[in-house]
Amino acid sequence: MKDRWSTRSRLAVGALAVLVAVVAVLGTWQVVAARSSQRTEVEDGELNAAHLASSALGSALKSRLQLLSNLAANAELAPIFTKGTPAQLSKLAATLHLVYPGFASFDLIGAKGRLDARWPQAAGVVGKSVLDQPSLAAALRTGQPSVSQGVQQSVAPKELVVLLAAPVRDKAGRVAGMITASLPSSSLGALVGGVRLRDDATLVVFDQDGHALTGPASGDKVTYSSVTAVGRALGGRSGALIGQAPGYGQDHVIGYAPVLSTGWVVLVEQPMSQLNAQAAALTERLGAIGVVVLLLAAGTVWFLGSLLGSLARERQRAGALVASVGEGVIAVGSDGTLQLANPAMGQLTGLPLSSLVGRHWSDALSLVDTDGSPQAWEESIAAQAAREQQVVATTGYELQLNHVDGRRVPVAMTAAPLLADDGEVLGTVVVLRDVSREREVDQLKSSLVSTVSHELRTPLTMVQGFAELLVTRSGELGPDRAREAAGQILSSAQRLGRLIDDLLSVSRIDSGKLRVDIGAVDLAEVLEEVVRVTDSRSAPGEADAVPRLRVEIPSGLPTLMADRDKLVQILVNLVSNALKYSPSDQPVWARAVQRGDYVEIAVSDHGIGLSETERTKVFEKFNRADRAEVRKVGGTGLGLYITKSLVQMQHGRIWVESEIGCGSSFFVAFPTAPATGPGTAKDRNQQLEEVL
Amino acid sequence: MSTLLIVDDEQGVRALVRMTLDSGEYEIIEAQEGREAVELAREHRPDLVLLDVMLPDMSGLEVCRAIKSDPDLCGTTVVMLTARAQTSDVGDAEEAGADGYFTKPFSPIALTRKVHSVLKQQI
Repeated sequence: MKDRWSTRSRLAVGALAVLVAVVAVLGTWQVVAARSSQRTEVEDGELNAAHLASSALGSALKSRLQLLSNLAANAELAPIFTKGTPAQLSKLAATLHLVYPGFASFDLIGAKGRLDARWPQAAGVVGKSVLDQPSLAAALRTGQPSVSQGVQQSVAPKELVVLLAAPVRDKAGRVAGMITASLPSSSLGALVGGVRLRDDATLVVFDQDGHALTGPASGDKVTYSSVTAVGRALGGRSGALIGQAPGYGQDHVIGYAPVLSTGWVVLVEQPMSQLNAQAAALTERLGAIGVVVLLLAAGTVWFLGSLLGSLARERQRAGALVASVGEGVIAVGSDGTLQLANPAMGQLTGLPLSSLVGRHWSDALSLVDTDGSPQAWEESIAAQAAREQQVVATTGYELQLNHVDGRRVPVAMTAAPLLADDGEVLGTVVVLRDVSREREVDQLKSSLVSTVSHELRTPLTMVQGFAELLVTRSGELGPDRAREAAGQILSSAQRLGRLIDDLLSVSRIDSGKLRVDIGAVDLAEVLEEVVRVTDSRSAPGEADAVPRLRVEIPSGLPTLMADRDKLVQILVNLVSNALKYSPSDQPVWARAVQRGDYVEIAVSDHGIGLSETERTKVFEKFNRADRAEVRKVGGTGLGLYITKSLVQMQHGRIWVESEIGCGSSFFVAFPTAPATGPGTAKDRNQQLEEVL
Repeated sequence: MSTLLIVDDEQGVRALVRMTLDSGEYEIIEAQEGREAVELAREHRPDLVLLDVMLPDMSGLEVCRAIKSDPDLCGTTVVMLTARAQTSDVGDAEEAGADGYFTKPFSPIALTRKVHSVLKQQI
């Protein structure tokens, strides 16, 4: 019971601990997954931003280049380039500014690459060749519009600009000149103003050669095409990655995309620190949730643990109650299966509890009637109690339980139905009690009644019969027979008296009312009385007959501590037994000897003796050996019980040495009286005589 | 002269029966135990056996059966003499073949009458 419950509670707590561990693992996994998904989300965001930005930038530049190309395609412009005066050209440049206010400057370049006019006007630039700028030279040569970056030397401060070049053709289709317009790099951001960048993200534009047009690296003339994101975007791909951003010392989440119409590249860079901070915040949040979950789980575990513990304790207490009951207790289900058995049940059957619980009544318990026929479950009072819904008990000793060692234990059984609140019969609780002792006592009682009635009736028969003879035939009998009859009456009356004395003694001993008066006792004097009382002469009443009792007592034996009258009774009992149970022609000895602080008295005979079993039971109440030699001699089986009780009350010891057929020696030992004082009783008597 | 066998483990009871019936009319012999009783019965062929039920070595009923089953002892009358007075004992005695039943304590005069009547019937 106990073990099962604590195992269950341990299992429950263990399961909860596993649950907590699973929660912890899941939480950690959640944090990791969240971090990874957040990173993915940031990457996606930057990629998206890069896409949008590249697309916006591409279309903004394309639309501006388209504007410029449309303008340049106006055939009326060609004569101005070929034949116009410088004043006309300057005016045109200024007019362009008015018509297209989005550009920072306009240059009008002749067919030979000579800068003819500029708006805003700047000193020293008109007349210079622009052919040193490859993109411009290519545009003039091919007649195709282009977008490029460069430094407009004349513009102060010298600023990195984006140059849009649109060649002007005459009616014949020949290149008559070229209009270039510039956009400051700083304004590129404004072109993609519709694209929303998150947090600290920055937008960086690179040209087809990998030069940074905006951002911290702009104008450093370094080619960044070796940077992964730039290189990939220049290759026409878009994507996102974590890596070093050009111009920054630390890692960024970078979204990259090509600007299709120009061959340029847009990078959207988000510093990692931001991501880390967000991840840290997330971790913190998840951590806090985790701690709360753990605390809750721990609380639950503690609560459930203590609940289970108290439940288990409650169970244990109930179990201990049943376990500590001395009687066998079993709970039987209505189908006859044993659901519970206490240790006393194990002792009754000799079986381990595991072979009882869970098995059927008929298999677990071997119950037999007096004739040895097994009792079926349906006949048992357990089944009867469940059927009749009332307490049923066995009577008498007819029911016996077979012990594994082969013994048949008489049992008394009480069965009570186990009823649920709604009155349903759940089973039966059965209490089994070993009634061997009761049966023994009962048998003892009836044997006592039989013995006592026999022991009473026999002397009574003699008293009555001899008295009737004396009364009715006194004349015929003659004096000798009359004396014999009177003697028989006397000894029968004495026998009756002794029987009553014995019964009273037993009653007093058993009720604890017998008192002893211990003092110094002279054994020699006691034995004289024993000789007188037992009258062991082979022909009682005849003065010259030889006594069978031989007393041997050493001189100088110290007095002993005992109740004198009780000591006489003890020795009379032992001597009477010795005389009774040995042949009438054999002597009986009473020998005393001092052993240390004790005086030991042995009463020995050459009688029938005792077997080993008889020796162990010889001092028991109402015990008489069951054999002819013993039955031949009358007795109640009380003498030695009384004797032993009397010896023990006087702090003495009693034991027996005997062998069957060889006679017995009963020993009693009493402590010697303290040496201090007026000496032995004999000495006292002598002193008394001297005084008298 | 008729022969009487008294079987009882109590010396006093034997003495009482002997004193009661010892008027010179009968030869009286005594046995303490069952086996001894059967031997003496075969030896002396008594006319009447006064038999105690509770004997040390065997039951008086067994002694009764032994006597009654012995063809040499067909003329022997058995009267049970016992302190046990339950009706079942009476039944047992009859079953064992006893001719009569006498309960302790008994009156010597009644016993004398019983013995006389039993022996008279035999003649």
